[in-house]
Amino acid sequence: MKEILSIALLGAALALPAWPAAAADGGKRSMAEKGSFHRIHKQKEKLDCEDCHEEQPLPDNTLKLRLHEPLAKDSPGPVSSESCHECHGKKQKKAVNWYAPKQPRQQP
Amino acid sequence: MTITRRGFIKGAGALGSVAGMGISLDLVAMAAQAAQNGKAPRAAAPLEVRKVKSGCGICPNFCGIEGTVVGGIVRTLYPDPARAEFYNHGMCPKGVSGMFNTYDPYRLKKPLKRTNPKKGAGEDPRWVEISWDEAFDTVAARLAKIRAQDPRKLIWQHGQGKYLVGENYCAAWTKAFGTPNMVHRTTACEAARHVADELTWAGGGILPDLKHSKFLLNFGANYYEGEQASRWLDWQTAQGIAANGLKTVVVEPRLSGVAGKADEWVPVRPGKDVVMILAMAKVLIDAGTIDEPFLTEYTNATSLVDEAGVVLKDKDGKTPLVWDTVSGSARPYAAGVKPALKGSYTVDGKAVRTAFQVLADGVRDITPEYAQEIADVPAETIVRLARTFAKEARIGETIEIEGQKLRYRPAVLYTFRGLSAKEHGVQGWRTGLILNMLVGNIDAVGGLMLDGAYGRAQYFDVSKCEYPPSRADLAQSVFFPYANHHICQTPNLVVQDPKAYGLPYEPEMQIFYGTNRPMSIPDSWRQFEGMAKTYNVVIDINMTESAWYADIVLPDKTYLESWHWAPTRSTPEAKHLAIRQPMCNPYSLQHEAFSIMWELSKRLGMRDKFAEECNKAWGLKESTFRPGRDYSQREGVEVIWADKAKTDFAVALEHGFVGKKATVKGKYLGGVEEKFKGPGKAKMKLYADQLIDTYYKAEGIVRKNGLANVDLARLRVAYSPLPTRDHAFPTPHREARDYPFYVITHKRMYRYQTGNTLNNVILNQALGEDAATNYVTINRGAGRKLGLKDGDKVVIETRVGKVKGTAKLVEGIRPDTIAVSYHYGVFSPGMAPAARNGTWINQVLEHHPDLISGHNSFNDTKCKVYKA
Amino acid sequence: MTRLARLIDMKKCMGCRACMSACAVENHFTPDAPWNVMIEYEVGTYPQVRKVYNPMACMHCEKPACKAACDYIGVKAIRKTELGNVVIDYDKCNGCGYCASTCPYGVPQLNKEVKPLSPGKGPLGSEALPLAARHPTHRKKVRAVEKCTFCAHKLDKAVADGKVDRIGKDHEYTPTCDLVCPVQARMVGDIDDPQSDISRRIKETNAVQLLKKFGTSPQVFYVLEEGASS
Repeated sequence: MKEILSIALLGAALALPAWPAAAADGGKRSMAEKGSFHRIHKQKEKLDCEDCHEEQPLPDNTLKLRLHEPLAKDSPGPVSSESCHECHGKKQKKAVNWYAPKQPRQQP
Repeated sequence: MTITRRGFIKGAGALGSVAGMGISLDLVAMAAQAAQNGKAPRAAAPLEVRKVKSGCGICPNFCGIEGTVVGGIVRTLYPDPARAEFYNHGMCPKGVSGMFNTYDPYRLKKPLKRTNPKKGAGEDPRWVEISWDEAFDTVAARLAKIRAQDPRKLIWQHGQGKYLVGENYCAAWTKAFGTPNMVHRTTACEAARHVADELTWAGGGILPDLKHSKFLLNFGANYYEGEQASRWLDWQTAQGIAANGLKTVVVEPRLSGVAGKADEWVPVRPGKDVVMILAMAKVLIDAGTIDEPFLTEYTNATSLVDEAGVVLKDKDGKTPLVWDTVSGSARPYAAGVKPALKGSYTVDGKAVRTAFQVLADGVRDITPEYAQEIADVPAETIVRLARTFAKEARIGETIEIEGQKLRYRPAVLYTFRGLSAKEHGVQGWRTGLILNMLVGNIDAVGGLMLDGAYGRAQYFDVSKCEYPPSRADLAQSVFFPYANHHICQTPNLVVQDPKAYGLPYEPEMQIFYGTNRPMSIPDSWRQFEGMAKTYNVVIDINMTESAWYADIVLPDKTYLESWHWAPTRSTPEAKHLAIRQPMCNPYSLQHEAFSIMWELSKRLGMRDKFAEECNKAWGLKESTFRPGRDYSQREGVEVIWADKAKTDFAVALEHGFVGKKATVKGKYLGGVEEKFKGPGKAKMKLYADQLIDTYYKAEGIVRKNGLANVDLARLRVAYSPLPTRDHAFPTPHREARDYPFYVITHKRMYRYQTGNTLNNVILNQALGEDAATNYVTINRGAGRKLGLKDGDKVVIETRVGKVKGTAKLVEGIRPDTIAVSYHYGVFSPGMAPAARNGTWINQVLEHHPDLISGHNSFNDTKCKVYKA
Repeated sequence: MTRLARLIDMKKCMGCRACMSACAVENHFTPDAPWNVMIEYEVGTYPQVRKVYNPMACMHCEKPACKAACDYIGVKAIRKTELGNVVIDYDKCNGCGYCASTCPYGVPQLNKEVKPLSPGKGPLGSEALPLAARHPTHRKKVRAVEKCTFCAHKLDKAVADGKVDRIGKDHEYTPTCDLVCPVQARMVGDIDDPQSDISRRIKETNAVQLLKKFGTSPQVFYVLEEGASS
């Protein structure tokens, strides 16, 4: 159920708005909770935390570089690449297909 | 040394020394700030780049290294490619980051003098920096007084220091001084294995012939995480698997690194492996899958043994008798004699058996089912492994290599500390040697290679069993008759009550060089009590716990700052000679152990005597130390190089070593084939008759002198000429009945012992959080029963004391066993905070040294475990 | 045309972490941003249990998701070189961390603070080497993302010296993690050349790419240990 929901929501979420012109403003563009990417997933598209964040630590055999990296303060849990893949691994009209795009998408 | 690129700029060389002076100049942060401000770094001025061939000095693997020094800073340490065919193909994480043992803000940089006379873990020594001149004056004055009174009152102890300056210098210095008390660390490592080898084949140094082995039965040799010769063993194992289909079975209670990658892991109950191997021996003997010609011609399995366990001797009182099947009489094994391997006979009215028969009778009741009960390894596994071992040994087969027809036995049982780091460690490895002998794989292709069989015949003699002891460590005394490798833990015990051991003098002063002795020893606090009683000088690179208990601390240089005649590891394939040469001196240190010894010798008026003893200790013949002059550390290396390597020193500077490959003849035909095979020669001791002879001698000495602190019953068990089931029951197993868990210890790849790598910032930060501390490894199921989860704080309680740790629940350990690595949890305030992470397990281990070798018991303690 | 790839034999790897340690030294490790890690876990249950050691660093994907994300937002700090290694330009990077989020392997690391190895104790060893004397990938920068470069400083040197054929053979042109391995569990080489050692080994060992379903075509191949994740 969670999977279906998250795909639907992310599909909508990644109907990305126009990005501001490239600039060294990483402070705004960030996956941190108050950053733009996080805002898109959470506030704009109203994904629940658990749609991306796992409640439990990722298993020891997860192929992720900093598997046991301490989480950010107040983080609800780690994010598995699998949950990203659920939406970003498909060709969807509005979602950005990061994984094996034929060509990197140009900024809209 | 080759200069690959020149372009020296003024000031580049000074960078290292600026860093070395500890000036707080955080260039990284400054540079980062500059980058953030959008200031691109200025164009790079070329720095001098030097390549230096040298040797790693962190552990006893002595890998060949190639350092790259940029602008005076050791930038990288790579394996020397030229050394690959002689020893190491790669390097370990400690070695490649070894420059950060040198670049360490916690290094000792100036001599220190204690001003608080009270010594203790919680006592502030109130250090005062002193000049080298004052330090030498102070130490020399103390030494001069002792030397005039009784030089034996000085004890010199070293650990890894032995492999830095070279132990022969230490031997020469103590000899010149006049003390017998130079003490090495091997009883904290693998001494029992060496002594078992010495008693069995009168030499030391074994390796499996992995180039040809098909089956490796490994009892706890964890060369993926520690140990000697491991950079050859690990590489050769990988090669053997790829090239020969080598199968490996690892028998040990914990799934170590090497077990985790083996074809099979057999989790044996701690300390019970002796019974398992004896049961395997029974399987082989019962099935007749033994190499009878080998046992008969190469070993003393045919010696006749009387009911007291003593081997019958010829009229000369030395030559053992065998039962000659030709004449039907007891005779020495001479030409024309055909010895009986098995059977009971009557000689001069006395009932005798062959040594082999004694072994066969001894294991009669040690069935696989019995072994299952004791060792908790299924009987069918024991039978299967025994049969596989015999089958893969291809008993009777030969192979031709380079035109030589050779015995082919490609199955081998090997150990390091697994069978030896325990109360009956000598008997442990003796058991393994016996299983190897049964299939005749000694010095055979694919079998167990001995480094110089019968090279030191004196090891077959009855011990001198000194009483009173001459040495403060009691080595080779009636207390530890075959402690051939010193006993590192006894001096600190003996100094507390020398009269109790009959020591005819009272030690007053100890010099500790490159060792953090008390931390490495079971029941560690008793060691510190000893150190609190003596005047101590510590030579080291860091403020270790030993230094914390010192009166004078002398900073040493690291292996990257020094000239050393470097020890090397030989393998069945090659031998080599090597040096270490300095790459840097970031803290501008003036002295190292060599110059300290030299300077003290001068001040004691024994410089020429020291030079003379150096020539003896190093066995120098053509190139020697001469009287009437000083030698720098480099000059010392040049003297030894000229004598040993017999090539120009330019070769040492450019290549760092000279090597020689083994020939097929040298490898397979120079050992047991030459020394033991056939009539009229000494024999490998399947039956260690010198042990029983030594027991009877010791018994007489104990009774004559009324030695209340020697337990003859324990001595009798320890000195059995053949291993028995008793050797699977060390003291804690018999006495600590209320302690349900076995506690074992082990090494990890990320630190070396309790000294030289603990402050390394790369090891402590770049290898992952799990490498920066240690854990109490508990079986997951057992942990759950205790209500534990990963990360819980637990208490380990033994009969010695309690210590806390962090639980790590895993599948890879027996449910009745916990494991804790050492190297962690040091307490000296002078070490880096990261060095102090984790649990210092040695402090709660019981101390029951092997009565033959003096080896420490690291894996016999029992404990309780509960949530903190 | 040379296209570099790496082969890691997990059956041989003994988990010693020399590759991590050497990488840290070589590449001016700062504690916030490791480049090279060991994923270590058990497979099976007592007593049938084995260990898996999976060394992980950048996969230098043919179709790197990190670069796609970075390009997508117009920052364009990530490039794939002619040899195939993926490199981040710290001066262009804005520290948004988008690449870190899109990488299936979690490889890019945002260096929030370029911490010294021993804070407050001055620079240690190579920390004292001025930025000007370092390769650009070693000029660590606050709030820039960094990761394994395949030892770009060595590869750049190989290109400059005309020694691309010596990559994987000579120390000065070979990624450091690959040259220190005690059991030679790792190798690097040209997979455009079907006769190269690495091409043959990949074929012989049936080596695989990890998380292949992400479709990024990683250029690090693994000989999988029994029971290992892929």
